[in-house]
This record gives sequence, C-alpha cells and structure tokens, in this order.
Amino acid sequence: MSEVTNLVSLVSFLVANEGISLRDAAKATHRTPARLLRDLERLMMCGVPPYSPSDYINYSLHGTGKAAQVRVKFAGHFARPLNFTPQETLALKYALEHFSRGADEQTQKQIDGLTNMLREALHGRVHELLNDAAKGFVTPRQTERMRKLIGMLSEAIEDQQLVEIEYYSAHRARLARRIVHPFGVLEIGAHFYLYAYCNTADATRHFRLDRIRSADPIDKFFDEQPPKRRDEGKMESLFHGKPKAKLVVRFSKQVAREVIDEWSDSPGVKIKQLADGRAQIETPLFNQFWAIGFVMGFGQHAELLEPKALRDELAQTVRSSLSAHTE
Amino acid sequence: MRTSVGTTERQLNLLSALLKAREPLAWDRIVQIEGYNDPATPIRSRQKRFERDLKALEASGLKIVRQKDFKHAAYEIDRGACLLPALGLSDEQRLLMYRVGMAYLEDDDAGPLKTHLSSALMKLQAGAGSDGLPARLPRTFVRRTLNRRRGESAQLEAIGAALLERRRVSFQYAGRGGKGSEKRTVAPYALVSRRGGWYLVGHDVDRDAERTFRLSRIRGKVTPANPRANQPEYEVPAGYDPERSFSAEVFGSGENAFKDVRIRFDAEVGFVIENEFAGIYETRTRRDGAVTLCLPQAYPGELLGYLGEFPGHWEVLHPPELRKLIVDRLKASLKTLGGRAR
Repeated sequence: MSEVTNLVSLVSFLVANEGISLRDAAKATHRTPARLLRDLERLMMCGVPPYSPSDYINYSLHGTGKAAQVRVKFAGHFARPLNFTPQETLALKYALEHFSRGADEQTQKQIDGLTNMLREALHGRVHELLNDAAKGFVTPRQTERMRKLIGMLSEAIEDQQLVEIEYYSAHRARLARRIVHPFGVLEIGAHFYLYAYCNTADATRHFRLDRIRSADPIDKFFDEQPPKRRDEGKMESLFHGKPKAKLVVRFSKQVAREVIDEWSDSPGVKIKQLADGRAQIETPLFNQFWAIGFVMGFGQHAELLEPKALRDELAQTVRSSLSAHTE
Repeated sequence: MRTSVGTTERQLNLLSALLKAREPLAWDRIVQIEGYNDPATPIRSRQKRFERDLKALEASGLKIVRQKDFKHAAYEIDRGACLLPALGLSDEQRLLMYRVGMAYLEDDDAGPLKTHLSSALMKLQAGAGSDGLPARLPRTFVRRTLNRRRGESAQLEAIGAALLERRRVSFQYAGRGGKGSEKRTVAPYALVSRRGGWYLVGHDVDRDAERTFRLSRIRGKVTPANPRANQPEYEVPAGYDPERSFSAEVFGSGENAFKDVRIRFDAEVGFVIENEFAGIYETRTRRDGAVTLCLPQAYPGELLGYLGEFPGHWEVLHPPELRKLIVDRLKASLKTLGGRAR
C-alpha cells in the first residue's frame, strides 16, 4: 500500500470520527499516538491552489495528552474513503477467514453477516475478489469445544469477570483449580493461550487453552489492567520468552539429513554434521515439554545430551510410558 | 511558497486537487499545484514528474480518466470507481472490525496482512460514517497471529505479501532427500499451516505444475521473481481449494502409515484429547473420564512427538504391530539414554 492511500485512509477515518481521543484514534488506526501526530503534521503540508489557509488540511487537539480530542479541518474532500484496492480486499478476506477458524458460533455469524454485507455493497474487481478468491492463509480449524471456550473467555475478558478454571499443568502433571483474572486470549505458535493473573500463583500466567478442562465465570469482577509487557509471567512457549537453557540433541545418521534440512536457517540454532554421519543440534530451550515430545518422536535415533536434568526427565517419561504398556 | 515538496505530499496535493475539481484538470491548473509549480524546474521535468505521480496513484487502485475532448489533455477522477460506497454497519459489525484489527495489528509482528488489512479496516470504519467505531472500545482482546514456527516468519511475510499482490517469488529450495538446493520460481496460491509448519502451495513456473513447498526447507531469502513488475502476474484458478493438496490426517497418512489406530488416555488428560480432536476424529469417553482416540491412520514418529507431552497417561491399544513398535522404540530410547542418564 502506498503512503498516499494510507494517509488518505487516516484522514477519512478522522473525518468520520470527529472528536475521537488521540489514544483511541491511534489504536484504531494501528499506530502509536506519536506516529499519528507525525502523520497529521505531514498532512498539514497538503493543499490545493490557491493555497489560502482554508485550502490546507489542518487539525487541532482539544485537551491534553492522549485523551486530547482530534479534529481535522478542511478535509471534506476525503470524507468518503477511497475504494478498496485488490490487496486490501484480499487482506480483509483472509483475515476474516482466519479469524473465523477460532471463533465461536455467534462471532462466526457476525463474520458471515459482515462478509455478505460487503459482497452486496461493493462492486467491480473488489466484489469479484470477495466472491471468488481462493483461501489464502489456511490454519487448522479449532474444535467446537475450543471455539466455545474462546467465546466464553472473550466475554469474561470484556466484562473483567473472574473465572475459575480447572487446568492440567504439564509441569506438575496434575489437574488443579485456579481463580484467574482473564486479560486476553493469545494465539502463539500452534496453540491458543489464556493470559491471566492467577490468584494461586500470585502472578500472571499463560494457560494453554487445550489444557483447560472447565472454565466457569464467577460473580466477582476486577479492575486492574494487564501488565504492558505480555511476556511477563511464566511463558511456556517454544516461540516466545527467554530461553531457559541450551538444548543439545544428537541424531543418528539415519535421520541426520532430515534434521539438517528441517533446522537449517532457524535462528539461534547451531548444527554440527559429525564425521560418522550423525548430526548434533544446539538450540535455545524455551519449553521443556515440547523438547521431550520432539526427542521422543525420533525414538532411538535421537539422544538428548543437555541439559542433564531434562535428560533425566525424558528417561522418566519413557519409563512411565513403557510401564503403561507392560504392567 | 515552499520550493521542495516530498513525493507523498505532492501526490496527496494532486489527489486533493482531483477530488476537489468540478471539471477535468488541464495542465494550466495542474501547474499551479505545489510540487509542479516550481518555475525554476523545466516544464518538461515537471510534466514527467506529474506522469509518474499519476501512474503511482493508478497503481494504488485509483481510476483516473484522461479527457481527450480538450485542446490539451485533462484529467478527472472516476469518483464512482474510486470511492467506497456508503456502508451501513451494525454496532456488532463495527465492534467485530475493531476486534479483527486488534487481533492481527496490535503489535508489530502482524506479518503479511499488516499494511493492507490496516488500511482496509480504516476505510471500513471511515465508510461507516459517523460513529464508525463502537461506542465503547474493549481494552483486552483475542490476539491472533499467522506465525507458527520460529524461523519461518521472514518467509511467511515475503510470500504472504506476494500472495496479496499476486506476484511470483523465487527462492532456493532443498527438496526432501536431495543434496543441496535449487532455484524455484512459484506463483503463490495459498499458505497452509499443517502439523506445526507452513507450506506454500502454488504454480511452479519451471515445472508448469502445482507444487507444495515446506517453508522450513527454503534456504535464504524469498525474493520477487520480477522485481520491476507493478501489476498482478497471475490469477489463482477459480474454485481452487488449497486444502485439497493436503491430507487432513494430523499424524500423517500414506501407504506405510499404521491403520485403524486407537490410543487410550486416562481421565487426567482425556479432556485435552477432546479439546483438540472431538469432532475431527472419533473419541470414545468412558464413565471414569478416560478417552480413546481413534485415528484412521498415523505414523509412529508423529504420534510419539505428541504423546511425549503426556508422560504415563497413554496406552496404544490397536493395532498390535504399532503397540509392539512403540514399546520397542521406548525400550531403545531408554537404552540410548541409559548409558548416560544414571
């Protein structure tokens, strides 16, 4: 998208939402308040002949700080936004499709309604793309149970209502009840997480949604805001947070090629091809449970070398799994 | 009068003049617009600049009509084609748009949808007229992301942008089992996430056939095949369904996969299986809460990678050959670890 169309969209948005606060305008237009003000300054340079003061776009702030109300003047010619470009149409279509894969029934209906309304209102190429374009970003659809859970938690988040969850902690390998203050549902990597303050832990936590057995809102509400940094608290994810340690795994020559192909170019990963055909990878360890599953998947073709504690845990996991089949 | 006007400001001036004009703009009026009105610059240079700007606006999707009835060419914007029609959005729909924006665009890692989706949502919210935003803005959100694996985001972003623009891409690709990598040029049709990784599905130009590429096997950067192209280079075939190129089986499929697989999970973790697979695969829940997961087919490596998350909570029931293989692999794993673990 060109800078021109971005700035025109911004003006159209501000004309339509006269008096919106700087904070809300920045959030809704997906930029920081400082960037919004910079963009407005640029727009003040734009005008038409004969260049009297009222021929230049202008803006004013009423009030102070991020609560100040923004008013744009002399921009009536941008009151109606420019039509969608094909790229914008596709981006919107792809985002709505992707969003619906984790949405509950009610949200799904709203998405269908919005898409149908757009199909009817828009014409030409944009209409064709909305109707005919194939799917662009395809991720697995969540189960009905998960989508219901996401919908229920979203409502509790909105209402700032406490929720009692029954959660299976892989770390403790047991189910436990906790009362949490839900702040957000986040999709990270291949999983959804509930980001919440946990009364039991007295800290923020990320709870994997598929590990929540039950979730019930209780008749209590909270006022506090979530911490600004979302990675605060214990982040049990492979993809985010600070690495806990270094994971070192050696692979047999039968699977070495596959591992090298898979892990080459991954950030932070060192690969050694050993003289006897075996391969060894070193990678930051973000999530011990993922690491155990990953190494177990290769069976005898992978040997976890470091960290020592995780090697012992893996051995214990293998023993437990064996005993379930032999006792 | 300012003597230097940036490209963006100049194009905005031109667009403003086109939108405000009640009749086609001829050169005698264009030459008054800031950016084209510098008398020190030769007229031919200013005309060239104007033509470049006109092309840039047209490349942004604007339709500008050249009138030929006049003595000199004159230009008029096609308002019907260029402006978004009035949209009647309900409160729910306004809130939904706001949520979608926050879900993908709140932070900087929004990926390939970022710029175009942001602009589309701003236009929708502006097109809805006054009260384009919901009366009460939610403070917390469902946050969605397209990123799946560490290391894939750069490729995902480059291919995603090309997919939106309908541009061909080139990259070095290391095929399975092959030595080294070779250059591939592909028209992207879709990006599909399966088993934790992203795949590109598209038309391989050199092989003149549809092919699937795993992003983790792409070496180096993904670049535009034709960097100078400024128009879409291909169309995705009508009715194309990218999911047809993939097996729906989570744990793999093929001739060598084990068939009719059944795994029992105890009551402690049975609900996790239902959360993840109910409605996708058959699940049988016992009174005590234990759940049996029934898979049409599966490969042992893919299965063990998943089962490792539930130490001691699962048992392979069927087929007996898979059970024996799993037990043998667990024993072999323990032997591998045994030399050092204790």
